[in-house]
Amino acid sequence: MLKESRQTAIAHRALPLRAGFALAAGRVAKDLSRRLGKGSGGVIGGNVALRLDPRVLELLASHRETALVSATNGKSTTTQFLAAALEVLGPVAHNRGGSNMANGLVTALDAARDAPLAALEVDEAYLGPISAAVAPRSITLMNLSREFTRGVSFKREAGHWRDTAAHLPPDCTIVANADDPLVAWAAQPAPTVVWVEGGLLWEEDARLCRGCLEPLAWDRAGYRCDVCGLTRPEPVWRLVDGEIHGPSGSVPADIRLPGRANRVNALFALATAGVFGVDPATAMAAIARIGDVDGRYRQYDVDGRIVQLHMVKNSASWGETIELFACDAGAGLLFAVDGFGLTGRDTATIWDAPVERLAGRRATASGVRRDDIALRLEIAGIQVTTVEDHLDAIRSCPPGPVHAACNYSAFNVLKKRLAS
Amino acid sequence: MIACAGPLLIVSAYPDLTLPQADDGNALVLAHRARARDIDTETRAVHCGEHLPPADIYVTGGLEDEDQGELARWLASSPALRDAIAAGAAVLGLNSGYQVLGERFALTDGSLREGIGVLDVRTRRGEAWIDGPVITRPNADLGLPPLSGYESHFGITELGPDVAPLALLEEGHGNDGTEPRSDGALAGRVVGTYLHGPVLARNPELADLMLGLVLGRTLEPLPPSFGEASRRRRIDEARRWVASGRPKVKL
Repeated sequence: MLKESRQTAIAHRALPLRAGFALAAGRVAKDLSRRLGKGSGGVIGGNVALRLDPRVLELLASHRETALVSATNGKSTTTQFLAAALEVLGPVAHNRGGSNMANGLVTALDAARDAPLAALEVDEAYLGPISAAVAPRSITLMNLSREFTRGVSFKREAGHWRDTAAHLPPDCTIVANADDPLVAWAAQPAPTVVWVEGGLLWEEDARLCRGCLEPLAWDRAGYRCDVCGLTRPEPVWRLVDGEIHGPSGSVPADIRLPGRANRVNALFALATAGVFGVDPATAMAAIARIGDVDGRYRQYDVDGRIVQLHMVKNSASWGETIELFACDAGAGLLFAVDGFGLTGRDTATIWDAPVERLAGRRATASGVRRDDIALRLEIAGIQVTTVEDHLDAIRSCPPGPVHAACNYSAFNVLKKRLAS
Repeated sequence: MIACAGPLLIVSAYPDLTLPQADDGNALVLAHRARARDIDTETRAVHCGEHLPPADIYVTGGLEDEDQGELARWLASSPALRDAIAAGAAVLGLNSGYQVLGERFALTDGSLREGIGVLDVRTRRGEAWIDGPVITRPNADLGLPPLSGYESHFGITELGPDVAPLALLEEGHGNDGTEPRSDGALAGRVVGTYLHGPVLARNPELADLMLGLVLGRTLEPLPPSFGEASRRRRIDEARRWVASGRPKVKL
C-alpha cells in the first residue's frame, strides 16, 4: 500500500516557482514541437524544463511511489504491465511512449501531476542519476546484453547498475533476474532484492563473471564463479508451465501478448506489483487486458494477410523474435528494415541472431536495408526474396498470418501506414 | 586442410573478451563462400577459459573495451595459434582484434600493453573518438574493390616496415589519420582492419582474399549477391554524406 506520509503529501502539492515556470515553458515547447510535426514533443519539452530547473525531475517525483524498470529488452512491455497492475491502487504516471531518459520522464510525470504512483521505464545507461533524482520504491532489473554495435557497452552498464544498487534509498527494493549473472552481480550490493527466475534470453554475454572476468561455471542449478563466489540466487518468483508462482501462491500467466518473453515480462510485473502490495491475481487480471504495446504485437489485415508487428533492436530481441517465428511454422515471414536511426545505420546484430532456426522457410526482406538482411537469411538457408516497399512485401506473402520483424524505423513507418 | 586435417576450420576467437559487433558473422560469411565452392567447412567459437585449437582461419575482434587486455592474454596463451600461423593459417583481426595482433596496443585507460606481435603495428590511444563510415580505395594488388565499412575506435595505429596497409582510404580516419590515409595492415596471411562488425558480409572480396590466403590460390569469383548490393548503397550514402559536409548524424 502507499505510505501514509506520502499519501497525505499527494494532494495539490505545489511546486516551487522555478519548477512551475520550467514545466510551463516545457509544455509550450512540447506543444510547439507537436504542431510543427516533429513528433510528440515529450523529449524537447522535458529538455526545456530540465534546462530551466535541473531539480524538476526530483520535485515531480517527490510525492509519489515510483517503480523504475530497466533492461536491454522487455522494459516497455513490463512497464506497461506494471502500470496496469498498479492502477488498482490509484492513478499511475507512465512514460507510455517509451521516452525513457530524464527528459521523457519529466514529461510523463508532468502529464500526471496528481498521480500518486509512477511506473517508469528507464534507459539502462541513465538508471543511476534517475534513481538518485526520483528515490524509487522499486527498481526492476531484467536483463543486460549487447545492444547497438557502436559505443554502447553492456559491460559498463552492469558496473553502472551495481553502483546504483549500492546507493539506493533504504526503503527501495530491487526486483532482479536471478538467471542473468550480469544482473545478479549488479544487484548484489542492494539492501533488499526480490529474485525472479526470469530466464536468460542471450547466453553469449553471460559467460564471464563481471566482477572477476573469469569464466562462470554453469550447471543445471545455474552459474557459479569459483573466484568471487557469485552464484545464482534462489528466486522467489517463477514461471513454470504457464503459471506464475510467487511467495503467496500461483496464478496462470494468461496474457494476450505472444511468446514466452512476454510471460516473463508479466512475471517481473507481478513481482514488482507485489512490492507495492498488489496481489498476483489482481495484477494478472489487469495485465490480461493489454493487447499491444505502442503498436507492437498489434494485428493488421492487409488484403487477407493478418500482419503482426514485432520490433527487433538487438541480438537478444532478434533471438526472441526468431524463436516465436520458428514456433509458428505456417506463418509468412517478413523482415522489414529501414535505414534511419541507430538500428538502421547498423544492421550488424542480425548476424548474431539464430536465424538458422528458420532454415528451409521462405521469407521476404523489405526496406532500405533489405540486402543486408537478405544475405544473412540466405546464408542461414532461408529462401529469401527482396521487395523494396514494406506493403508490397506484405502483399507478396500468401494470404494468412504474417509475422513482420521490424527495426525501429521500419516499425514506425509500418505502424503509421497500416493504421491509415 | 592446411593447418589441420578435415574440413576448413574457421574459429571465432574469444568473442566474449571484446565488445561484440556481430564479428562472428565474418566466420559465417567465410564458411558460406567456401561452401559455395564445394569446400567443406566448420565454424567454431572459442571462449575465455579455452585455448584455441589448430585451425585454418581465426577471426577475432570487436569494439575496444576494458577486457581487451584479457583478449591479448588468451590469444598469447594459445600455442596453437602461432603454430597454425606458421603452418599456413590465416588470421583476421577486427578493430580491437587488429590492435591486439600488433606489437603494442592501448587499453581504454590509455595504458600500453604488449600485443601478440604477429603484425608489425603499434597502437596508442588517441584523444578523439573516431566514428564514421569508411570507403577504401581499390587495392589491385590484393584484388580488392572499394570496400565499405564503419570505424569506431580511439586507436592511432602506426605501421612498421614489415606490413603493408590493407587499403588506402577515400573516406575515413583509418590507421593514424595521416596522409595518405590508410586502413589496416597485412603481412603474410595475417590481416587487420578497423572496418568492424560483419565486414565480410558487405565485402565478399575480402572474404575471398582470406580464403585464398589459406588455400594458396586465387579463388574463382562467385556471382554478385546481396552483399555487393548492400555495399553499393552504403558507398552511395557515404559519398552523399561527405558531399553534404559530414553532418553530425552519421550513416
